[in-house]
Amino acid sequence: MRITISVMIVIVCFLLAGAIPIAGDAQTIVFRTPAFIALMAVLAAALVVCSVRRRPALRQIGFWLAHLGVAAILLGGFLGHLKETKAQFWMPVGGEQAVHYLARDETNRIDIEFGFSFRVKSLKVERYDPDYALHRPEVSMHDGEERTEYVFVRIVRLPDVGEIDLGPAGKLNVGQLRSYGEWVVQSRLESGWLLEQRPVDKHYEVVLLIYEDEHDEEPDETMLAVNHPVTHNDWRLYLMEYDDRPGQRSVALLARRDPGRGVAVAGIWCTLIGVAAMCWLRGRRMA
Amino acid sequence: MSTEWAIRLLLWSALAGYALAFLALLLRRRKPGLAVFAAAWLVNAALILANWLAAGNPPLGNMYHVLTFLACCFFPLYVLLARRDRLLWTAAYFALASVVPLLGTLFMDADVFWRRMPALQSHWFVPHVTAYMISYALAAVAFALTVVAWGRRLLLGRPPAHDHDAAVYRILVLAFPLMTFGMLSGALWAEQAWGVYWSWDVKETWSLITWMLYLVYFHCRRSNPHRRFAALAHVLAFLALITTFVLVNILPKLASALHSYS
Repeated sequence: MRITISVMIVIVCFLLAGAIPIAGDAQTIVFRTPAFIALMAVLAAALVVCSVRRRPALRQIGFWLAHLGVAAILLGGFLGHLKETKAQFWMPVGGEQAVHYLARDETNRIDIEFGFSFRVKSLKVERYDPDYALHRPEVSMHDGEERTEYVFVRIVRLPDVGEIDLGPAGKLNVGQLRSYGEWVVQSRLESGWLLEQRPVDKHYEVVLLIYEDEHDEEPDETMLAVNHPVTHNDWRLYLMEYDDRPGQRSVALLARRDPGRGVAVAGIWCTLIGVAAMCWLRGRRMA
Repeated sequence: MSTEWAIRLLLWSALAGYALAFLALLLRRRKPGLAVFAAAWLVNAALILANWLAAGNPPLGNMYHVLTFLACCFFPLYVLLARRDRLLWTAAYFALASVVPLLGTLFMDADVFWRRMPALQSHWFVPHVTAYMISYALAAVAFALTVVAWGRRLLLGRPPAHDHDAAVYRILVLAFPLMTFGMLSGALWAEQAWGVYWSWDVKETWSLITWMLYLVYFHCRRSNPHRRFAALAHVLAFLALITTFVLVNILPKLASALHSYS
């Protein structure tokens, strides 16, 4: 128990070092140092040793699941650290060319075949009514010329209908921001202040066509959205971003193959069940 | 009456009810105190319903929403612990703890009309936030019990009338699995949304520090040579919890990129 408590306190010290903000999140480098990885290995070993030393009994099941579950999470994370393949890339919407490999390293051309290919058939974007960014005009002189620059003041959330008081920028009827049923991109107010549209995403998804091989004439059609990755063979595809400007419709996808995923997910569920059993069944009796 | 005014009225009524219940329970007026506590809880539940109707989504998307939900957790948890563990004497602590989050909402914009962004449209969203809030509510009461026990020993030179140490343990064993669920469901959710379980984002790191310190508390309590450090580990864990929940959101230097909405 003394070793376990000591290891946990040292881990907390490392975590604190990684949580103290330095410009550009540089502090998180602590978590990639060999010392931290070695510490995680010591913790995993301690958890396994603790579990093995327990006398076998059904009432110890919570203890085993909790301790071996955390060890499995660490093992899964370590496998991922060593063997994971992943890259983010942009794909045109409606493009004819199917992607069949992952260019991991543009300089050295290390390409990894997916074992299948896919293309983006369509993109659907739904948005909430937009917010507007309110800008204040600031007049300055440059080479004898008067120039107006706009300084961001705040985001304005619009009511459904009626008038909105924008303080020094004046009052505005929400209907003025609509033209032919669409929200205008910009609106200059009578006071000279500027309102600029800030779109707010509600939902976006793409339809992917997945081809098993180059002769596949009936590709799998599958929906890919945020929180709904597509799993195919060992790969998982994630929708990260999109660009729906006319002529530039494209999506950013993340492709990932992680051999440690199954171990880590199993470890997470074991830990959850084990901790609940230890605290809610045995913990009460011990109190 | 506009929706915002109705919500503000419910907020003030619930806050006043919880404060009144605390005073009554502090003055050992148990029955009226509990009745007012229950009534305030009903008003708090109505407030959450009003927030839900206004937002059109589960009202857990910003600090204002989360604090009103947090305040609503205490009364049912008190009823559970009073019945299950006979911790009837802790009512005043739970009533006081209900006041604090609602007081907090008075210092922020009541952003009622919240819009759920795509990353938050996950089946993990409600269980992740709910589990964390329930565990935070329990942790707050456990911390208050520890502080009062320490205060009595230091100022009055005698231990408290009830066994605060056992009560803290009973409360924390109820809280810890929920805290674990909150953290690990967040990892599963992040893997679904961004293809990575853990990003070492500031909020994630502080939540792991909090979890580890509560683990240290449980291990110290089980080990006779270290048992005297358990209370210290508990207090440090709660301070880390406050950093995770509040300071990461309000201190610009600690701002979390992935949790900017929470």
